[in-house]
Amino acid sequence: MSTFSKTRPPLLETTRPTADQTVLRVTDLTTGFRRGATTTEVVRGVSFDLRAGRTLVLLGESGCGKSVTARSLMRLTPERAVIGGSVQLGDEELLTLPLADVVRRRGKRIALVPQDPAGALSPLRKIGSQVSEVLRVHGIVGTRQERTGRTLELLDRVGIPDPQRVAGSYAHELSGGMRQRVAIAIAVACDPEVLIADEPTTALDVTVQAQILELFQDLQARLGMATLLVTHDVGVAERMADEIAVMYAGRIVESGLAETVLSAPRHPYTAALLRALPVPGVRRGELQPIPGQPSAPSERPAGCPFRTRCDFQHDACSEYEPPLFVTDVATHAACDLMRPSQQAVG
Amino acid sequence: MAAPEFLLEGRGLTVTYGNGVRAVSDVDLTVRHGEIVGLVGESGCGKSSLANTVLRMVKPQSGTLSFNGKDLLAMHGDELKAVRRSLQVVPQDPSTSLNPRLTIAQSVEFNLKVHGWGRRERRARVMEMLDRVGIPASYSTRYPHQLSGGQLQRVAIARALVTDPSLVVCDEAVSALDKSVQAQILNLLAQLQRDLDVAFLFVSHDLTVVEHVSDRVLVMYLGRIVEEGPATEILTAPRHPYTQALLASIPTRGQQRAAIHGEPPSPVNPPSGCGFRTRCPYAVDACAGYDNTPHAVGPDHAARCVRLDDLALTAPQAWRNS
Amino acid sequence: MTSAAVLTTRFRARRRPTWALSTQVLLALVVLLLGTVFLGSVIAPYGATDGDPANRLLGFGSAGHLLGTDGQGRDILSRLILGTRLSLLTGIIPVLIAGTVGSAVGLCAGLASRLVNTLIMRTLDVFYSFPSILLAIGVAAALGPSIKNAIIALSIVLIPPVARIVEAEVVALRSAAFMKVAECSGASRFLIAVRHVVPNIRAPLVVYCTTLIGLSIVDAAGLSFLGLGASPPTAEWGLMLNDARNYFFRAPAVALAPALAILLVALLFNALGDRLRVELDVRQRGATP
Repeated sequence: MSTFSKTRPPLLETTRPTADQTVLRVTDLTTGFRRGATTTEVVRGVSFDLRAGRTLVLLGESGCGKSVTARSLMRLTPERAVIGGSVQLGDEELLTLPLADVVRRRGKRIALVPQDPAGALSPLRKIGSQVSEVLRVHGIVGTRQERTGRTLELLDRVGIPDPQRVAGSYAHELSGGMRQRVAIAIAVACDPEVLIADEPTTALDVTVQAQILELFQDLQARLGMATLLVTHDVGVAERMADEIAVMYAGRIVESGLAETVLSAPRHPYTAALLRALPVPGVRRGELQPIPGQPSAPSERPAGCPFRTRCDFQHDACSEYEPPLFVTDVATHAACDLMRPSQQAVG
Repeated sequence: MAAPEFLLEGRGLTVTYGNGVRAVSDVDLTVRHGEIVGLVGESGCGKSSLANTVLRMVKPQSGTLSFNGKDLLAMHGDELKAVRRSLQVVPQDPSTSLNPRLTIAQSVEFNLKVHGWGRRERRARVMEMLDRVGIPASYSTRYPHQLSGGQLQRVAIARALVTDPSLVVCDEAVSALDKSVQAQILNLLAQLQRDLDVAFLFVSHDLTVVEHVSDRVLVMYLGRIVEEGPATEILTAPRHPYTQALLASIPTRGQQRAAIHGEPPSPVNPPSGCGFRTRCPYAVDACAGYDNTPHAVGPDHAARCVRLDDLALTAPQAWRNS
Repeated sequence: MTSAAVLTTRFRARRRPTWALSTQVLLALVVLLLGTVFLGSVIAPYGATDGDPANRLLGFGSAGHLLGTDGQGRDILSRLILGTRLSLLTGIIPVLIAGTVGSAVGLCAGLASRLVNTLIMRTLDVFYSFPSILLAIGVAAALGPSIKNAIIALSIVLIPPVARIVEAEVVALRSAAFMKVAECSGASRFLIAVRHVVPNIRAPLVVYCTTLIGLSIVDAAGLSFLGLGASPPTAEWGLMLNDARNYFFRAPAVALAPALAILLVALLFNALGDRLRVELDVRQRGATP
């Protein structure tokens, strides 16, 4: 039972953004990887807003650039990455800020929950000291005792049954679900404004996944942070998303309110992705997979990158790469069929 | 001699490892000719140990296992080798399931070489199988790193089927694939099963995938089969609280609370009676003394729960009403 | 790296060293070395034992003696050139022997049951517990000083490290899914070893053995230096160093030439091993054909 949140005064005397206020604005984000003289663009012109107390799900399959997008926001990309565009956290531009300043904001204003908590926790140090390290680094809690107390509070807040014991354990002594809870505790330790979760439940069993997703919702309701959830799992997206952005070949191809996008997809890729799922009622052998596979960044077809796998391919598709058009259901879709003149005709 | 009813028949299988982990406890497992049996459970539930037992990679402490009416556990030498021809495996990880130093044709061919096929027959057979799984002939000289995950799994399936087996164990064979590609492979498996009349033991942690592809589903928890029955019944009318929890845990719109809490207990020191009672919302004192006898709840449908009769378990909220 | 490190502190990726020699340069050096071995007697200006007591201990760049002369007035350049063959042989032959025997032992240990594996590996550990040069000295001393015995000694010394590398590779390989499939296919252990294991350990084995050649050359020179390998007046680099010991302070150049030769050839083989590591990797050799 965690009751501290009701009694504890806020740790940070900062002005918290009010609900629905835009906290992080990403404009035309482009990330490429240098290899010799060539640069391969993995993320190409991605724009979205994260709003306080809301969850944006970045949905896509492996290689679509969703994880690179998430890491680019925190500039957690390798040295050979070239990031362009703009990432505005409040009134600060993270992409032009000196890296050291961005680093100082990591964990404090913008935090990450990684896919693999086993790899993110040190195997050699006790859990408690890893949690309190964040508090110390950011100078949030003064004395050692206070830090220890706050660490136990944090572990309790993320639903760890016996915080005292867990704080004294090593990462390998915990189950995958417990490790992910610890990683979440570290991420929310400084009440960040933005939480980025990169496939946080992919490595977990489904019954544990349900618990972690519930935890995310609880924390968001209580702390009001803006959340970017990166996932490949349509079910997770359905459950968690307020808004959704579907990525394909490094771009957002469809975005909008989650409910609308998932019930009335307007981009053929989104529609095909939803149809490919083995849902009850589909007879064995009659799934509708998307033919072929996404092409590598270096050999993308000209025009719409999805056109070679698309049922609605027509001449215009190879002529240009469609921008996001406003659809009839007030979502955005990057498909020629959604071009205003087309819509009028159709 | 009449063919035995079951292609694979395991009774009372128990697997204990040296470190005291009882991975499989008293499991009955049957597969009929040409049937797809799904085995579902979360990590550490013993499903891989059970699959490895069937493959004769792990020796059970007790129990019997027969394949085509012959005692699989007593076999060795040439007899075992001959059986292995009709008992194949498709492993999980596409990235290591093929030897990185062999071309994909060589990988598929190896299985035939083992069983003494001539060079020319081998070549023709390999090409036939690659074609069947949708791999273009021009790919046969490629190396695994030049193929995508879905293509690698197609090759792994071709390799398993090249010796014309009667049972193929798919150990999480589609778990590492993207959903759009996963659908391709699931369709392929269904088609192969129809065309070749081969039986599959389909092991996975993903209930929706298992339900989709299987005729019959076994649900495993902490080393025991807690429920087994026809796939559609398991999905629409599950009787065991754990199966219901599994179903209710599949994320979907509007879901608020997690179905069950905590994590499975350690298999080194499992709870007495029903293994699920420590997480079960319906647990009562009697659960600790339960002897794990299965109760039939319909034709071909049984569950191991002491409260099946007195508990009118409500069907869980329907999953994804599409 | 702790999560806190990911989240809060600067993370810098290690760069690969940029001084690596290109393949072409390495190959040119190898050709040069082989040329020296095969054409040594043609290009060497003097014979290996042609001493001229009148011109003892000449320095670098003396007239007619580019690298000077040693204590007995023999031309150092000629002795270096003519000693190349022997020094290389004492480097390569032990590695060939140890490579064959060691990989067989490692392969057996890697594929065997846990008990057999333990037996083999712990036995190797006994050998491993001695410093390699000490073990070589012991074996060579027991067998008596000669080049043949030095080679035998070095072969024995190099078997445990090779076996250990191979065993580690095999054990790592055993967890790959394709090995499980191969076992399930009913193939014999021998067939699995030949078809699935050997092709996968070949590259690391060749790489490791190439770097071992450098070590073996240094060790062989060491044995000769101690009088346990080649005997005077044979031209051999280690022996040349031994000779130079007496004049070290009067004419350091006499020691410098063979020392540098040993160092550079050892480095060359190390660089070659590094290069092979990249070249032999199917995955790094270019993606699609």
